[in-house]
Amino acid sequence: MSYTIELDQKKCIAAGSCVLASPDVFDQDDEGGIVFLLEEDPGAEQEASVRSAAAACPARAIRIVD
Amino acid sequence: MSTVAPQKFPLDLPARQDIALTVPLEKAYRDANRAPARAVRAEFPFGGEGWIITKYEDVKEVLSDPRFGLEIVKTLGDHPRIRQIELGPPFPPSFNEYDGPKHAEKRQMLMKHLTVKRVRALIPATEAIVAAQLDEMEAVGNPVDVAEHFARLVPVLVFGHLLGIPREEHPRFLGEAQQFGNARASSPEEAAKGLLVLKAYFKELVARRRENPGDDLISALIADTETLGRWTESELDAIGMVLLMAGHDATAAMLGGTLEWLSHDPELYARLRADPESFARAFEEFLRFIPAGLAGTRTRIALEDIDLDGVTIHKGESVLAIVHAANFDDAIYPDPDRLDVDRGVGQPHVAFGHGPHACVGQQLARMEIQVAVKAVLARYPSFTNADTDPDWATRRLLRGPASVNVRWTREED
Repeated sequence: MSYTIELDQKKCIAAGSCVLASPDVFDQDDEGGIVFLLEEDPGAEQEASVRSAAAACPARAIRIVD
Repeated sequence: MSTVAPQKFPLDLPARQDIALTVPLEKAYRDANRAPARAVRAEFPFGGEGWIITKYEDVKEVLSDPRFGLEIVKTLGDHPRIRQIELGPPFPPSFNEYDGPKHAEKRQMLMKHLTVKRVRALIPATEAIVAAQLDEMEAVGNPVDVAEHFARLVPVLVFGHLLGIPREEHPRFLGEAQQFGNARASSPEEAAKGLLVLKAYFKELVARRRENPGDDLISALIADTETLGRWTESELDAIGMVLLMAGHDATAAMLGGTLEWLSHDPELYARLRADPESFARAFEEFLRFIPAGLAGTRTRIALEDIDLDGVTIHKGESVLAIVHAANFDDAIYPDPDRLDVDRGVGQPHVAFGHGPHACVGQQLARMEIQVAVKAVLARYPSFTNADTDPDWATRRLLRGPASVNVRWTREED
């Protein structure tokens, strides 16, 4: 099953939890540490790490839509 | 619903650690987590009655809910709270005491310097600091107190590196900072006196960096101010102090607590030594398990009447979300009293808080502790506790260990 990652950059607090959980998919920008995607559609092999990243976000800024 | 008599909670903790208190504290968490009510009426150590939140989901919710404010604390003369010094004055205003968009904007200005990438760039310097400190620790003797000669020093040395403060200047602020770390023992008068020393030091540091910028965080923040104009003078003066207060004591407690555990658990020590890269994940379980402070978060004030499924928290009341209780919620973590480094990553702990005020230094703390523990694992084939306290493990609900005497062996190379 495929999934889509929705980011709410306004909610992001730059804690970096997603980068730790899923370093190939998420990164932080240099202006304020705000989340952005390295890969828009990372596919099944990254699904577990992407879900951990969403769960770990203290600002609920990452949503996974199935 | 709020007619239940308040518990005295989180109990009458003395300044020193006392294992006898851990059992009732643990029981209080467990009872609160298993009871249906989402908030428990409690008598706070200072200021009277308020509410505590202990369940995992509720702690996350309260810490994310903007109807619980921090900024208003500054305007209150007295309020139910866990630490004496949580009272508003005489602290200078600092960004982490704001609410809402104002807080978010300032926080972002700081976070750009503390991203995962920026923190990783500090690894080589941290490794050098850790190696030098282990050399010094070994020179003290064997067995040696690793809390005093290693765990309590590394966070301050890394902080010093980050702010470009030479080690010989540390005595100018360290005593006062440690007094704040142990704030339950400090009177308001002592706290106010210490604060003057800290304020003066960091104000002077900002002035020096303005005159003579370097490759350090304060200089970077001054540069941000000059280009973006978003830090006020007093916020800038306060920020070094805020980072010191938030960082050094909690990180030291966490590092000391982790090393203490490993010194008692040779099997886990050997396993992590054989596979040091696995420590990063194992460490998340240590973070869940070993608290770095008593509550971990500051007391919030309800900005309006808030209903939590039948419990009404009235406007103006104090609410303390206890992250350590959440981390031991057995609805989330089966067998929560067991340290299990193989626990799944499913439900992330809330040791660094949650919501817009989640710890700004969490990646820095993770990096420091991981570098420090990995260096210990690499250097010492055996690292064995030399204390004779049979109840050491039951102290885990209190702050970091006062002393951890360890007998070490070092491979001859």
